[in-house]
Amino acid sequence: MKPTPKVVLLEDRFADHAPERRVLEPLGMLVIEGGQAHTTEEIVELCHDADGITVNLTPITSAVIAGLERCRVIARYGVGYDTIDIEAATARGILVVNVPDYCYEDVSDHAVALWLACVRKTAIRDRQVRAGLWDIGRRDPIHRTAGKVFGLAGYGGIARTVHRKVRGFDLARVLVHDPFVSADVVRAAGAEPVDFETLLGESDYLSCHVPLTAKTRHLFDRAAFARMKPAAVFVNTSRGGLVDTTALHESLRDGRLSAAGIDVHEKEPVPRDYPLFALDNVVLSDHIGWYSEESQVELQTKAAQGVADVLAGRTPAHVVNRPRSGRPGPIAP
Amino acid sequence: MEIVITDHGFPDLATEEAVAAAAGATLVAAQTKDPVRLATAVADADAVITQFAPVNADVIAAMRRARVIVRYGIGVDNVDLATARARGIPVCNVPDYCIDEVADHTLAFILALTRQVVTQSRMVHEGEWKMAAPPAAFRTLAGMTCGVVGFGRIGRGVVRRIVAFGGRVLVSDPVAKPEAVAALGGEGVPLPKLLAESDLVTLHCPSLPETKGMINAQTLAAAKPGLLLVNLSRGDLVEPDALVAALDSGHVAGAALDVFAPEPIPAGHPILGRANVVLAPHVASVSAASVHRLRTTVATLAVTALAGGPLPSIVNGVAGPRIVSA
Repeated sequence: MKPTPKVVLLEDRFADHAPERRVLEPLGMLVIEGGQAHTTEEIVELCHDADGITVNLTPITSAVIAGLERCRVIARYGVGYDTIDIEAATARGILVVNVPDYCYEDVSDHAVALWLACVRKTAIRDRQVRAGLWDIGRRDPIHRTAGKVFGLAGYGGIARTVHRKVRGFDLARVLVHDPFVSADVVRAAGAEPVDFETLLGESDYLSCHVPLTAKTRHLFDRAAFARMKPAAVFVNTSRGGLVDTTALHESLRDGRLSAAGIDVHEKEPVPRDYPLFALDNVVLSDHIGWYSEESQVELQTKAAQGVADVLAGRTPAHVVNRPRSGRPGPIAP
Repeated sequence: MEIVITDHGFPDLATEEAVAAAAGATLVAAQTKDPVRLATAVADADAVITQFAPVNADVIAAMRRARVIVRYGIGVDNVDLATARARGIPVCNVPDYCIDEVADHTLAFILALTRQVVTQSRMVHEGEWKMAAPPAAFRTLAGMTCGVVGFGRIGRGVVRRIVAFGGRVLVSDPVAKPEAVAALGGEGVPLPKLLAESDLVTLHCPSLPETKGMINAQTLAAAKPGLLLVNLSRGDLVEPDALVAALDSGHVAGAALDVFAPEPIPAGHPILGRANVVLAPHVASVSAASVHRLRTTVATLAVTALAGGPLPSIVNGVAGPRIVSA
């Protein structure tokens, strides 16, 4: 008789691990909560005979990986996997899987929330009413969204979900710039594929959904903001490093941009002297776009599913590495 | 011919004056909400335009020559419609100038409550950078049930927008056809069911005797705990004391209000101090384009009535402009 597959959850920040148990236990797997393990020794002691591991922020170093006798899969709670020594895992035949798609609904809601807060000026009106003002706004006009142009920088899963959600509005056009997505895909979705210059020049609203790489750092710099329409609204819920904060601040301060909704910041946590704090035409939040109770459950479920798939001999949804030879055979019943 | 404007909140009347001048009429702005002064102001008016001033039975009785009363907006609850009708004076509104604006503002309010963007922004301006609300207050519409009360032009615009977010959408409107609601992706239900099952309720109905105070201590108690309430229609649909009490008990988790009873919100009113509330000064209908359209349409209705022409948006059952002998 085969031993019961063992999965260790290296995570101590989630409220509970019911979502992982719901995936793994019906498959006959033993689930161990290992959030208390932090040092190499503690992790190895707990995980040496584990078949699968889920991990959040705990570093999985080459030393840890050297101590894993049976492990076939490590699942990272989230998109990034820089806390895992991928090379060592690959050499040892361990698949690393991640969860790049767990918060589309949440981030896209947040992007639309920031966009509409900028357009309808809800944050500043709320402060004005609380300060005792009522008949206001004559010198601070609001413009209708009907007939306007909505631009999406990047057209991955979150941007596509934003696109779906703005379809109920009476926008004239949706422009998409994504060098990795074919023009046909964009057209089939009812948007117009455009180059970056056109996106900047023609969008009344521009929502940014681009991964941060060496090439995309400061994609939105002084020159980019200068090309945008003076009444444009800029929204960023992807990565703060895409934006030159100094250039954004100047553009907002000088009225070269109408407003911005910013959830992600070039430096996080944001510095005390963050220049955007002082502006009225910016709506800030603190990298919370991804979060809801549901997205948390989705994250835990999908990480566990990645482990379950590998142990059952199925192809997991999102694989980070390609070991030449995996460890033998499915273990799960 | 004289057109009297009881009250308005615009920086000038250039738009209206241009329309009136082209028709050979003059324009007088009384700028009062006092019924006694209003009665004097409208006595010799050939047409009356009003924004928020109470055009009650006494004010209407004082109108010796008015051929029409035109409201700057959709709601006509500041005008005594029955008295106007008894005197043969048609009351006109402008039913369609701001549908996109109010529907957009509704989504802005809904998402402000679910994503905490206004509370977070307020906290920033109070000099604090920390989470504006507990984690559970950050919600996603795909997992929620939204109840839309009223399926008129604005209610439909809200339903059309909100179904794209993926949640369940309930609609309550005594005159809406269930098929029409279903065609937009909503589910027609009676109001008690909507209140019992919705995580968020947004009001899009007129202020009528049967809707005034519809959100009160009793209906709130029957609503789902943790309810989010959005109101951009009329302030008197919601009993303010009941709402404050429900916010304080936590039964209502948040509210976004563009309208209030009374307006402006009195200084020191407890609603002004509640953190989980988003407030706006009755601006959901506003955009540069909608305001221009509203003012042009209102002035055109007034001069049309002066010329005895047909009026497209009479709301009190009068056939046309009152015929007044010169």
